Amino acid sequence: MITKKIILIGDFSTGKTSLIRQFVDNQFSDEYLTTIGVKISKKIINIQEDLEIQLLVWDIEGQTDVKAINPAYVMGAHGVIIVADLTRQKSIVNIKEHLALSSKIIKNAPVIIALNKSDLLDNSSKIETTITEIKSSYSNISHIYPTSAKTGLNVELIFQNITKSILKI
Amino acid sequence: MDEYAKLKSLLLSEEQQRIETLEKDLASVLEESRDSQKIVEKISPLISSIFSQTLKNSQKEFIPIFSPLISLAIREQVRNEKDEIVDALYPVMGNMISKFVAESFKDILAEINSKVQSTFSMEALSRKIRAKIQGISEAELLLKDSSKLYKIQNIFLIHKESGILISERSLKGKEAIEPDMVASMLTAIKSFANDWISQNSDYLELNEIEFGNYKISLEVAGCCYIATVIQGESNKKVHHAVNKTLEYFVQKYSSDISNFQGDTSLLNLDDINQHLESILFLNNDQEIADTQVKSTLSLWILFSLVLIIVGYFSFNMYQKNSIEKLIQTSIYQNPQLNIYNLQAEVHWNTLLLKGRLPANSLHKKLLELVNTQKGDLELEDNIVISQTILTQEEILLLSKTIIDTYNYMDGNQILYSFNHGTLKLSGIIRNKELHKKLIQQLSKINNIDKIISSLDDTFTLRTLEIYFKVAEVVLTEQNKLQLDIWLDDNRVKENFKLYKNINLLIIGYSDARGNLLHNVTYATQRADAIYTYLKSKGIAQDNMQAIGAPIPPSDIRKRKENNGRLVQIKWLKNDN
Repeated sequence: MITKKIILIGDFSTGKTSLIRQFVDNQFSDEYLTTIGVKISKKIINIQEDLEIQLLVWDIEGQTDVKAINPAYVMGAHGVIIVADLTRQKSIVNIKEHLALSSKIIKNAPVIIALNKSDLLDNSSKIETTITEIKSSYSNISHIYPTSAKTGLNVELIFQNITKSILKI
Repeated sequence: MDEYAKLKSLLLSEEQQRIETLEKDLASVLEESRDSQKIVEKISPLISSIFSQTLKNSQKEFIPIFSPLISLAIREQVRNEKDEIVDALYPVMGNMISKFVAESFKDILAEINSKVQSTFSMEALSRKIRAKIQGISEAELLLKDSSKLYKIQNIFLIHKESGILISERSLKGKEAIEPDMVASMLTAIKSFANDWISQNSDYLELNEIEFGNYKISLEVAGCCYIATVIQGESNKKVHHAVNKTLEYFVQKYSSDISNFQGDTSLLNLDDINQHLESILFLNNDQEIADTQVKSTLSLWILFSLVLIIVGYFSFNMYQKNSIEKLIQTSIYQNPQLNIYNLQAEVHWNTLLLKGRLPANSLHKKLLELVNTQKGDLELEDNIVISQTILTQEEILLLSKTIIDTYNYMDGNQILYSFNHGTLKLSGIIRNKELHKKLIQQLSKINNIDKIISSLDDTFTLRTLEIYFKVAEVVLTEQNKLQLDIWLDDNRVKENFKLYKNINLLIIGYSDARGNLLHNVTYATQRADAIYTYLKSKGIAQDNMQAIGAPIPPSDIRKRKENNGRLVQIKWLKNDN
């Protein structure tokens, strides 16, 4: 079976862990792994009828001013999901930094941006605007999706798509 | 009282009464319910039955409710009444622990014993040497090596960058749960530790994670690393095996692993797994037995080889030694050569002759002798032909050899002594001719200045015959005179002193006519008469023997003078 490493990065409290929790059932001890700044989960997904891919999702602890992301966690990743909080503009601005970090460490890995907590926004036009803005700012992004860990919106989709982008199908 | 009240009392008096009673009861119940002590009094007897009933019906529901309480209670109890808990648990725990320890020791002992018993093995030999080098006892080393002290449970080959598992092998029954996650987690932990501890160095790596009795040993190469989960003490053997395997992977699959994108089908997993398993089976008993068999087999081969070589050399040595002995013996047996200190030695395939010979002729003789016996050995002739000064012993030895040959001949009794260059000879020699020859031979010996010979070459040890008349057994005066002359002429007494090995045999004869018994008597009496006379002349009894011959030999009987009536006195040489 083919195994791929996906990393989730983004500002703290953008809901990375919740997204993964929504996506997978199989988890490793939260308590332990947050200590070292990463939480690893596994999920096997069916991309096509006869193609199963095992995803090892590294939920890297949100970057704060005090603690930077350990670049070693990013290394060897096949796909990157950058998570931002639609309700916090700063987290959207910081996408730039996360993108810079990941592209510096890993080359040619597809990047998907998840704009999380979309359920908290009733104004869908704001989401559209944000997506358009990001798209115009960063050229090398595969997809941008509004997501909601709460309702499950697009959660399955982002993992499906990042895998497809990795496999170039 | 109005009508209504009357009616009411008439109609409802009974109910009224009941209400009053109920009010009273209610008041007392209410009062009791406020009094907690009374409630306790009432419920207490029921509690145990309530619990037992409820637990019986719905045990499963109660376990999660009570579990936290129980652990809390235990913790509290341990905190408050530590000693009591210890005392209470001691009989159970103590036995359990001692049983476990005893079992473990039994295993270790069994293993150490089996190792000790296989004393004659390369392993044991190397262990002895290692123990000497490390300055620790062999037992300690055995304990260290004991595979009961460690067990490799799982082994992971992990892509270093991504943390994706390339392959994993486990002992049967010890399979890792979620090996992919474990691989990622280990990688994360490793990265975390590396990042945290060695921020300024790229070269430091996390080597080992300890978890209780388990150790996770990490052996890191450029593109991948091997994580080994070991129960117990990690040791050099494991470390070495892991290192070797990793080295192999790096050499063979370096680029494959570097470009690994999570698709294991692109790698030669069979080979990788085989190598990982070889580490895993380091602790497998079968493997140990196999290697023991192998090492025993190779030992036997080695042993047999040594035996063959030793055998070949021994046989060779034996063969050479027998040739050496044979040649030495022939030299000793050769009267011309055995007087010289000659040595024949076999060295590998060479026969070495050492010693000194006084003449070329002797040397030639020696070579002739040796050549017939040396076989295919090469001859190294170190014999020195020298006329150098002989020692006293050498001269004596040479003289003895010559004289002994003479003494061997009948009628010769030669005595000799050598002092200050002078060889003195005494005794009897058969005749003048022989005497001359002897002096000639002896004078050939170097370093004999002078030979003084008092050898008697006139003494013949001839037989004397004394004749008797018919039926006479007594010596006549004439007989006695004859004996006196013989005694004087032959210096018989001196001869006896000189030569210990000669005696007189006195044989009496008769003319053999008439009665045989009479004839024997005559013969014996005649011999006795001579014996007695010689004894009276001072000849020791020990040197004489007198016998009477029953029938005289025909040549004696035919003699005309006395028809065999005579006594012969013969010199008898004792062989001993």
